[in-house]
Amino acid sequence: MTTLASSISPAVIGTRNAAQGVTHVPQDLDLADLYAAHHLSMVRLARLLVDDVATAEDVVQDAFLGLHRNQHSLRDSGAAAGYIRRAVINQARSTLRRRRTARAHLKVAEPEVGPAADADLIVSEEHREVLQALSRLPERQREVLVLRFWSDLSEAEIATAMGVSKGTVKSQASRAMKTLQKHLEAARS
Amino acid sequence: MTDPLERRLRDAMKAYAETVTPEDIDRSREQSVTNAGASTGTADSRWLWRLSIAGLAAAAIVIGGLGIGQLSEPSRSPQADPVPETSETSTSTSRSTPERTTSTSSTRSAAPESSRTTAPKQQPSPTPKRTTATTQRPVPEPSTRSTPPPPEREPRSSQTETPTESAEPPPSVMTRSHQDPARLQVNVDARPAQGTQLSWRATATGTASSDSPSGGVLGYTVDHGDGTTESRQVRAGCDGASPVRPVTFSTGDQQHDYGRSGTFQVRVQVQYCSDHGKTESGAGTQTVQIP
Repeated sequence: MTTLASSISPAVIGTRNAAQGVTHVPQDLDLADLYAAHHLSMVRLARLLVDDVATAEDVVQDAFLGLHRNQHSLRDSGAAAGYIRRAVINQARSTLRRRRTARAHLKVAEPEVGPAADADLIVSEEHREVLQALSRLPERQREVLVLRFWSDLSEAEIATAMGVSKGTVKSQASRAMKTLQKHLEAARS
Repeated sequence: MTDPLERRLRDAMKAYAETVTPEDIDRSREQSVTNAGASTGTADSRWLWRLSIAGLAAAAIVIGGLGIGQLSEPSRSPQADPVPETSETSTSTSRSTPERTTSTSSTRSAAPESSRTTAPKQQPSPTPKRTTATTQRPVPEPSTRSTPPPPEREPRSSQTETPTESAEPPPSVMTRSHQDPARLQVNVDARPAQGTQLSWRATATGTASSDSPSGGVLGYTVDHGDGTTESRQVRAGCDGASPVRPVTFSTGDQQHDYGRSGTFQVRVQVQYCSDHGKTESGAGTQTVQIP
């Protein structure tokens, strides 16, 4: 598994993701250390995928517990960050699927979840427009864009994180950008 | 891809992501993750304990069997000891010759051909595992694994099992033990606030049947120790389908006014979903002195 920690040198990780709260993680760390190093950035990533902070925290917690359960199957401890990211993406996907099913069949079973009431006030008008267009994209396309432009991953890393081929990442990204452009133009007109 | 759009996307995502600050994050989850690590560790150690107990039990059975064998045949000579190697091939025939003549067995034991008849006679002698394993082979395997060795059977037949097999629980128990039983530990943090007010908070951590790390709790009842109780319902019931998983629950900061000073014992009982839709409860107490 190509991961942030294994495929990039520690120095690169430190500088590249400093803005996202990710710091270099030494190779032999336990769960608590990993949690401290990656938790915030993973919650932010999950929030971009599932919208609300509580669900994002659930998703990330599940990912960390999953890592703990399967730590023996990890090739090396440096692969942990990549494992967590992939688990976050999968969990976010499952959560959205469950949410859709619940909404479709049992309208009262699951509370309405979404961005906080003041979320729109915090981000500027321009950003809100882009985020709304982003939220209208199909799940996979949104994932590709989030991993590309927020997590700053390469196409190969995105492919690994999403469990798809590099070609799929390219085509999804291209389609996503076109659709996004259309949504933004439509919103403007 | 157009550069301005990329830049807008990056900026928008960054702005949106950064609305999640470290202060927004529920810190109790960190404890939950740590607990999960610790609980898995205890599960491992629990298996180690089981294995070691199984080993000890098997060793005790073997030693007991040997003792019984020596008591029943006190005149037996130690020459029979090397024979078990040959008895490995003579298991089936040895069962068909139940009569024992100990005096001949000890003399014939050295000859491989004659060992077919002598094998059963050597059973009471101290034997290594290989011999005993073969003598057990004719016994139907499911019965030896799922039930303890029948009492009327020769003690040696139970000795023949390897340590891990002999002490393993029946299959039904094994299946259940794969899933850790749900158990929540409740901690109460209560302290005097202004005047005669009490500020308290209860946290339940452990495992419960839940579909999310923050679920599984049905409700809680707090006994303030002054004759007043308060109950809160969190969810309606247990569905029985959710897996048992590590969960963390917090009542959040709560207040109670005693109206007088004194020493009170605050007890919080948390009801939660166990496996198979059952309801369990756990409680925590703390004594607090109101000035």
